[in-house]
Amino acid sequence: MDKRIRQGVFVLFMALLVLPAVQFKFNLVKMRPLGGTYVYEERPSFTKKEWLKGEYQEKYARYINDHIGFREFFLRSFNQFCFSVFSIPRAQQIIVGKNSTLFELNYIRDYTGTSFRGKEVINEQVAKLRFLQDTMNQQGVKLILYFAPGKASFFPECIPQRYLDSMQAMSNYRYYAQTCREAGLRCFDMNAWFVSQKNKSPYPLYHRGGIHWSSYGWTLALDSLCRFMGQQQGTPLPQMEITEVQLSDTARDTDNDIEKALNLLCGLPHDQYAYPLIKINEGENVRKPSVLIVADSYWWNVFSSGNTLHVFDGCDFWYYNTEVYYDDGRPMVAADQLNILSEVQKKDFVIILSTEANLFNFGWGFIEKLYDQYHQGWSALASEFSEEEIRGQVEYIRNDPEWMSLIEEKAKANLVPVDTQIRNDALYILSQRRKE
Amino acid sequence: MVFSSSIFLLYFLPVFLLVYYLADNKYKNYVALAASLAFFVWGAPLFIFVVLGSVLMNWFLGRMMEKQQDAGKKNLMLAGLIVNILLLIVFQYTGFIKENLNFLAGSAIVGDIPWMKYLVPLGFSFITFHQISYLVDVRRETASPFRRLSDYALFILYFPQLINGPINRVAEMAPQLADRSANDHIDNRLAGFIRFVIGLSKKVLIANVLGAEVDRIFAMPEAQLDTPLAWIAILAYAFQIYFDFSGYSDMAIGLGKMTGFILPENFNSPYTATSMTDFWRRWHMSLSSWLRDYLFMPLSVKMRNAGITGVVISVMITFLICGMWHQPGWTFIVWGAWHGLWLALDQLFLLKVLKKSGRIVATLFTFLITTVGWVFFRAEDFQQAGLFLRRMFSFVYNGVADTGLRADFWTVFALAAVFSVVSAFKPGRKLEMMVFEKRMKLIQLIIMSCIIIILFILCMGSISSSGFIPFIYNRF
Repeated sequence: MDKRIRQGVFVLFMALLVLPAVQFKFNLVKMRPLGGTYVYEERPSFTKKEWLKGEYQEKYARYINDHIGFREFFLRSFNQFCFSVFSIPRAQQIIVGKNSTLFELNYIRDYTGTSFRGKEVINEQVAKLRFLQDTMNQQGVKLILYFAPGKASFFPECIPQRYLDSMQAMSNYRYYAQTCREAGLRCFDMNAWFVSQKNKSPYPLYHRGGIHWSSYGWTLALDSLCRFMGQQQGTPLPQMEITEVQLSDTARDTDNDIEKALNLLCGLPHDQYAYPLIKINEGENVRKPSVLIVADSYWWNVFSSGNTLHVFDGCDFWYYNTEVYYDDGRPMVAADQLNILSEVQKKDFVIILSTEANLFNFGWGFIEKLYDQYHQGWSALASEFSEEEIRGQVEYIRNDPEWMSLIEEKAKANLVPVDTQIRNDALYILSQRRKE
Repeated sequence: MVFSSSIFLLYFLPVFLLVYYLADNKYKNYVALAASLAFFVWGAPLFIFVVLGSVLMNWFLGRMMEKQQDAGKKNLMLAGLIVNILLLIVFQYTGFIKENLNFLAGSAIVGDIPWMKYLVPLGFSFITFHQISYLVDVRRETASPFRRLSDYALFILYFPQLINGPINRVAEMAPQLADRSANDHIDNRLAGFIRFVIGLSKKVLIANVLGAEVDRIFAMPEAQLDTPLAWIAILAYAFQIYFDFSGYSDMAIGLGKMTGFILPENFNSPYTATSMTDFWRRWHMSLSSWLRDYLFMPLSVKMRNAGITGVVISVMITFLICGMWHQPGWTFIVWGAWHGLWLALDQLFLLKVLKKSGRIVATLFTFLITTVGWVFFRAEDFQQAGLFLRRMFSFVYNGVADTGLRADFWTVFALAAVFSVVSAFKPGRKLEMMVFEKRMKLIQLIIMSCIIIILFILCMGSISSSGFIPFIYNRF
């Protein structure tokens, strides 16, 4: 009996070694796939040269390592051990906060101000934005700056103390929000709104295991945006109505996206997930605007929900100003293949949406590129008129004190000399006259 | 192929063990040899020809020596030693010699040797020491030469001890190669697997965790490195190298046991040593006994007329070679010299002083000396070694509260410190005996099996997660 048990234990030990290869070959047990974004090593093709140098063996060992049977179980067990014993998350840039609230480091860095770009940089960008807003206004395109909520601002009490110790006086979000308001820019500050609603909302606006707004949160955010856009265009957009809220213990979409990337064996404690069902009332007297939105991953939930099809007349999603997705099913194109100016001029609204974590690179180059294009546009416009015509219009403006005071304000906001501002306005007037 | 890799643990090892256990006793050596050759060819596909040539030559020399009288034996042994050492120099030290010649000449007088990059001298230091000891033992007639080439080849190339030892002696291994049925039973297989997984855990769950932080600190710019951090790094390295190396030895000994071989022990709580002499009785024991028997003893016999001076010179030569043997490089030579110096001082007076100072003081002192020595072993070059030593003893404190060292590092560091010394005490020794040596009671075996399975899963998790730290999203 004793010997039998000992032999049985040894067979068990051997099974530990053998079963992963059997699982890899026959996939006997269906494993829950790993979360997060990663790249698997491809099976290398054999070449004698690589074999002799040992490179083939290295690649093959990496390939085996990435594809062993039960890898998901081994990895989740180890991650769970690190997380439960040491509170160490085994995913890039993830921070475990109080009450198992998960953050991405960039959010905390923005909240604490350690990624602050500096006032000068932001002032310069805000001036450009002011210039863009005014110029685009003249063309009937409305620019909206959308500050999406940020998890660090929403759960500051859960940020680990070691990060709060390095809290700075100013952060990108605080300075952008303040400066944009002062500059008279069209801002939509969802971050502040989320914070104000944190304890009032019947359902969580953020989940502890997610880095994005909850499904309930983004539904409210989209509704608010539609109302705001309706005010701006003077005609309401189709109205969104929440007909029902389904409660669930299972997260969907991005509600626990960081938790998924942790690849743990056991789920983290969480509030009930709330999933609103939406009805869109496309009544009379509504107007669907065409929209171009330059945004980070916060817009994905909204975009992939399909709701933009019902409230907008086309929504082009410029993801990090790198890839452009269309809600009408057209294939994705690279942003740099498009003419930014003509794309903007086709739209009713251009929205630049960023969460706090991405404000250190606000606009991802879109603002600067569009600004440069408009400036080139002024130069091109100037060539259409004689210097005499332009000078005449400039003199006309100079002789109007009221106009001049407006020009001085604009020049200050756009961070350009008064002369340049006068000249730009003169060109605009001339071009408008010609159109008429 | 390293032991702590998925390809070894989940493919090579189970296939080898299954074939080995299913094979008839008379074919087991052939199975082990075939697996060892496959193991070698995987890591060094071209160098196998050099090694096989060398194995054939040494086996042939051994057979020839058997038929010779004393003088003939001696000449054959000397010829064998010269060829073995020359091969070691050519394949292991050419790069080092080239670098030094170019440095002395002030220009690149010796260029790259194109074919060298294809010849990875896998485990060649160990192979050479094995072969030298074989020739010397046959010459001394403390062992008989192997009759069968395959047995000799297995003695030299058996994969568990191929890369990092332990260094076997012919007298210990020859009887086992002939017949090891007495050792090939279920208790040894169980004990072997348990020891293997414990070794794997020492390497993966302790040494690798410490190593990651040691690498980070050693790569820090000078301004960031202060005295506490330098000490933390070098202490962590002391534990890293111990758990890495002793973990490897445990894996080799465990694999040996699973296949009926009893390989020599290699470590015995070296950080509880009370002198440098004691340290080398506990650290890499198979190497230190090799150095004693085949280098130090013959040298000191040659210089016996010089008295204590002869002993000191023998120690210094032995440990300069010991340093050089570990890896070609001046920092390793200095490390060897550092140990040689303290061993020589032991011979002169230090042993007596340490004995008088009491066990605790002697142990702490020896640990300090060993740890300082590790700076040369770990540093890339003298510049880095100098910086580290300056930081360790200049008492600079940057006052940075956050050293970036995480909770797992500190826990593993503390565990490593405890495990390094625990077996020097009675309860620890008892536990070690129970796990490694005695036949466990059934209940002990079941508890231990659960622990081993958990450790194996954690090790596999850590190994398979190397390079797997996912991002939530790709962000261009």
